[in-house]
Amino acid sequence: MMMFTKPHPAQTIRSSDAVFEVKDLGVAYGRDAASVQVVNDVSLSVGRGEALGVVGESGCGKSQTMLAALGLLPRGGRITSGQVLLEGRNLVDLSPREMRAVRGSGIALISQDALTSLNPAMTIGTQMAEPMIHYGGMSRSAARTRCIELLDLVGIPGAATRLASYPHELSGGMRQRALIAMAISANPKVLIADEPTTALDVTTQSQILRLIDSLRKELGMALILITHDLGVVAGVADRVAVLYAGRVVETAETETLFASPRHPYTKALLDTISQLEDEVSERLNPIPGLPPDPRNPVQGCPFNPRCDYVRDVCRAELPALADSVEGGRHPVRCHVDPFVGLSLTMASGGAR
Amino acid sequence: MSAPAIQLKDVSVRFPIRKGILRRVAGEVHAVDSVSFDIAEGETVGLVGESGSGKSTTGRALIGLAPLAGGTVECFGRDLRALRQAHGALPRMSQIVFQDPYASLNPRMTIGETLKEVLEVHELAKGHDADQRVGRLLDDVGLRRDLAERYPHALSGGQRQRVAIARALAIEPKFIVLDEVVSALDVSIQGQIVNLLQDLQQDRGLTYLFITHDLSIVRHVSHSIVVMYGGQIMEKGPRKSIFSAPLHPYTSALLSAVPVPNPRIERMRPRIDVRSEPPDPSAPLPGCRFQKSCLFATEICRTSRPQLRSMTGRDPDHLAACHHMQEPHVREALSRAAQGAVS
Ligand SMILES: Nc1ncnc2c1ncn2[C@@H]1O[C@H](COP(=O)(O)OP(=O)(O)OP(=O)(O)O)[C@@H](O)[C@H]1O
Ligand SMILES: Nc1ncnc2c1ncn2[C@@H]1O[C@H](COP(=O)(O)OP(=O)(O)OP(=O)(O)O)[C@@H](O)[C@H]1O
Ligand code: SF4
Ligand code: SF4
Ligand SMILES: [Mg+2]
Ligand SMILES: [Mg+2]
Repeated sequence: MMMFTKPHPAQTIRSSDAVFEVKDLGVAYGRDAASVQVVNDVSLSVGRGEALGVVGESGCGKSQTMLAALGLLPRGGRITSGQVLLEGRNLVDLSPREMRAVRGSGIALISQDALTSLNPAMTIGTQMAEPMIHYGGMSRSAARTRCIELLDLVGIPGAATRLASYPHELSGGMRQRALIAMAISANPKVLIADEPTTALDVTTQSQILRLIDSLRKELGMALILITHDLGVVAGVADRVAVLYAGRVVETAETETLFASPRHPYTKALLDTISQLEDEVSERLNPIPGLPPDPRNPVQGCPFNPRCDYVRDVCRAELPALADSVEGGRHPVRCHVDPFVGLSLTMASGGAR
Repeated sequence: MSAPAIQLKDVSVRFPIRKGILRRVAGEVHAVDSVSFDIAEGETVGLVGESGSGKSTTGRALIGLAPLAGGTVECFGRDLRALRQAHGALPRMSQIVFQDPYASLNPRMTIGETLKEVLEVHELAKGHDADQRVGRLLDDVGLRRDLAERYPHALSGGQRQRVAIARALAIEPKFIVLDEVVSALDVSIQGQIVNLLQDLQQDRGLTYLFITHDLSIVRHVSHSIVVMYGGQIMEKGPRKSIFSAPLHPYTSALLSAVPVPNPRIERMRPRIDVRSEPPDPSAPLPGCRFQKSCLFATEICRTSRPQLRSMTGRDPDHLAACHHMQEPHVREALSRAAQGAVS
């Protein structure tokens, strides 16, 4: 079915509700002819106490979006467009020094490689206390008390003695708890957790996710949870944004997204996962081909080489992120929007 | 039933712990402790368990890459130790594929050279003949033949994993240990590799040991499941009954920890929690390995090691090692968790 109605622009949460917003963000590496655009027109927003899940395949730009938003892009990377708003204040033009202050108390990041980036030669206590003393202006003893309080809060037993432990003396799950404690130490308004459980065992993963979720509720933080695992967002996120090739291709309330995905990519991902529950003999029907390489961008819709619903227009024009049907609550970046009818009939009913 | 393709009997593997500048042996890691299971020919056994539970070591022991401190491994009716003594090398019928194919592929050799080298070393083909075989191997794993010219760094993760599988297939093994082969890949690529492995199994009657921490993949590919914890088997049996009605508290905890990609179910379902920390493999406790984390542990769990046994009235091939698995309060808690996990 082809849609001829003029799409409404995608509606995000009104700025007054959003604590943290990324608007039309672009990130590129290199200059001129060698320039590679890794994030394109990404808009995300998260309200007070809300949890936003950001999902997508490896290389789709999840981490780069967040690093850019926090002024942490590595050398060679630059913001090419857009705004990053924390309670309405644009962070893009802040000086490195102002940005450091924001990172302490406004937004905290648990980065994807945090588990391996702990300093092996420093005790947990020293690593936790240092920023409190340097940037927070705390006394040594006040910092120590605060550290114990935080380790207690994240469920590390025997907190006082754990301060003297070196990272290698803690299990992966305990290290992740310590990192979470460090991230929330200055009461951030927004916590960004980039794949916080990927390196952990499933049993530990589930404990850490529940810890993050309960801290969010207790401390009233907004949470952005980045993951490639749709099961992880199912349990925690209120809303989900799906990224593909550096762009948001769909956002919706979590239940709506799982019950009635609209983008062919989201639909195919969910189908692959549910097929895993089938009998051994049955073949999976995975998405064919590879995700695109930002060095060789696809003309038109970036999903078109892998899409079952592709038409000529998909190869010529990039679709806009828009929603003409659900009043802007479920924007999707697709010319064809093949499941839209389904989506309306199912939205009130079925689970999957 | 015909004899199994692979048979492990009471297999143990220990590693020395060295301390100080003199690297004196200060103790031993009991990485694998009296592990027994079979793999039927043409079937897949899924080996699951948490990090450090001894999965990879078991897989390596199976193909003669880890020294046995005890027990025996039989590969297609032949004792592995005897085979090694006779041939002085790894028997060609078994192969292993690892999680990180990048680390195991030579960065300075093209894909074609890597595959050709394997064929030549094993004297399976050489020269022009070998080139042709390389082409066919790439076809078999769904790669374009022109990729033979490329170096590993110029391939995607999924493509590298296909090359690693092609390299294992080159010597025409009957049995392959697949150690976390899809763990690092995206869902779409995972699905492609899983299909490939299943097609190869069907076409060639291959036998697999599929090691992973991803329970949804293992559920899809395995005929039976072995669950390890602290170097020992906690539970083993047919896939269906393990997933629908686990007998062991650890298996139950594992299954209920897997996130279900359905928000309504995921938020509501009951869970079995595990407490505290994994066991220390260098100082194994007497009794049950899971005792420190188990909600149902009692005195007997601290003193006596539970043996694998089946449960009255259930599939006799489904075994678990738990003193209390028959007891009503344990059964009830586990079945409540199982209902949440499968629906
Ligand atoms: N320092 C860099 N220089 C050039 N390109 C980079 C750099 N860092 C990342 N990229 C590219 O930017 C794109 C987005 O990467 P990003 O790390 O955001 O992906 P991701 O979605 O977080 O993936 P993953 O799930 O693997 O963490 C990728 O194509 C990556 O190769
Ligand atoms: N070569 C070795 N020398 C010493 N100890 C080892 C060696 N290989 C493994 N171990 C130890 O044996 C135990 C089992 O390790 P193994 O790698 O088999 O676990 P695994 O289940 O594969 O874990 P993972 O999921 O993390 O891969 C661990 O305690 C590990 O530290
Ligand atoms: S725009 Fe076209 S190619 Fe892209 S997802 Fe929609 S139908 Fe598929
Ligand atoms: S034997 Fe005891 S400690 Fe071990 S799993 Fe059973 S109840 Fe728990
Ligand atoms: Mg990332
Ligand atoms: Mg391993």
